[in-house]
Amino acid sequence: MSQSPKTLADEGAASRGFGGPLHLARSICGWVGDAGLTQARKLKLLTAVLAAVVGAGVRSGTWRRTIRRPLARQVVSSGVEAIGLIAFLAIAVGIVLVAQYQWWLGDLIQSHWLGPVLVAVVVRELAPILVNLVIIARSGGTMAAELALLRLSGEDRVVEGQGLDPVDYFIVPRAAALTISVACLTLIFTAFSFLSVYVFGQWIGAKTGPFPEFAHDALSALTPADLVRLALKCALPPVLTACICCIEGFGAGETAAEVPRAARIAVQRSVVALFAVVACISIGAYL
Amino acid sequence: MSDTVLEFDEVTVDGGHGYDTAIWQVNLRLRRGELALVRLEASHLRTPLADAAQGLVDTLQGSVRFFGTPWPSMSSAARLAARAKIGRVFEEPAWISELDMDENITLAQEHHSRRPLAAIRENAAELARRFSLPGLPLGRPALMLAPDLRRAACVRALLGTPELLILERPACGVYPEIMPALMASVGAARARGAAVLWTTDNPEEWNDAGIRPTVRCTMTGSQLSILAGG
Repeated sequence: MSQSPKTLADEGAASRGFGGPLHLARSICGWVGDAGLTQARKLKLLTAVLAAVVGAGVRSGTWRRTIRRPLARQVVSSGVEAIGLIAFLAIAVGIVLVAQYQWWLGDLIQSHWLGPVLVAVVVRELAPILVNLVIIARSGGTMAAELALLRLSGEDRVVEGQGLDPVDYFIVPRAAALTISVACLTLIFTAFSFLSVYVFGQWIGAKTGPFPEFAHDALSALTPADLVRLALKCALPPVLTACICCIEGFGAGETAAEVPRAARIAVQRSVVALFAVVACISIGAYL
Repeated sequence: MSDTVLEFDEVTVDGGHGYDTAIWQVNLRLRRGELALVRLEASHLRTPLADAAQGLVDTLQGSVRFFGTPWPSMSSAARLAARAKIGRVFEEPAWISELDMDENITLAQEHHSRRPLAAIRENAAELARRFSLPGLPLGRPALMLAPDLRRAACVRALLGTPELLILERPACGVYPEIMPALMASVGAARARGAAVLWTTDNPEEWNDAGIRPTVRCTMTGSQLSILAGG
């Protein structure tokens, strides 16, 4: 006796458990649970590495001459070599800001409002975000790739075999260097963008007023809370970036083919972490 | 302090982590001034013996004791301090690529001692000249020739006053010309109480009378057999 193909397919699906609403709900729950657990495990690892790095960073015994050397090298590579790019971005941002200010508000408001606007836009939000993004783009992926390659070549074992802690030697100086670089570059960015606003504003006839008055208006708009938030935005994201890149680099796998993927994921996660931290700090400021 | 520098007690380590073989129920004891010469099979050069001696791998069974203390029972800081007392010539070229050769050679001494850098470099240069290098090597490790890297590895291992020397095929590619300097340096280290674990796959080196081992062993597969001494 023959059966229709449709009946056979239905039986097959039923025997494998496909198609039922219960099975679908179970699959969705399983997928969500798996994803949640994976993220929780990653967060736990990140927290552990962060705690180890911060703990080692504040211990004075960590900063021996052999650890200070990679710190200096990383500050040069991440910070000093990025000064030109940061200055260029700051000048461009200043020009864009003053042009938009003049376009939308130039005829309506007084010159002494430009300072507070600059503080609100540049110091509170734009400077730390842009500088952190530049650091992630220039150094984050490179750092993950470097660490993945040195793990492949067994250099972490060589360091450990000579009695040096791989966390102290590879991760702590990188995290400290990124933090120093972001803090210094943010100051440079702010200074260049303020100068750019003033010079370009004078050129296009915006109401900037004389320079001492312009500088006084801008600086007096800065509150201690602004400085605290700026310090947090300069300190937390780079440490997180360093930890994420080190985790992705050291966990890249056993072949060189995994290195580009590790670098890409490190950059991606660092950007997510940056915006999450900055958003949390900003929300905290306005609550 | 214990007279026994290094002791393997029924140690079993699996063959993962890129090793050619596991080690199975290894027993070995090295006292101050003793030298264990281990002959390796040519097809199984990367063994976990040296890593286990430094506490860098977990044992599946048994324990490795350094000056009487099992590695897992040491605190993290104590483990690092203990490893500072060990000089090692690694089986693979083991150099930190972002450091120059001179920085690589002096790294452990700079980290663990407060001696001035100039004094450390002077010692390293003197040792390097003993090993037929023109002085303390400079430049990146990737630009060095393999024989010079082996000589530099011996300089790094012997720099300072190590209590344990782990020499994984130290004369590989530079036998026999390196032997006078190596045996003189190892002899001096033994005379001041250092123990030595020396591996080789070279029959001539194995039979070299100048090494004067106190223990002779062979690795066959994952088994370490003690032939003489011990």
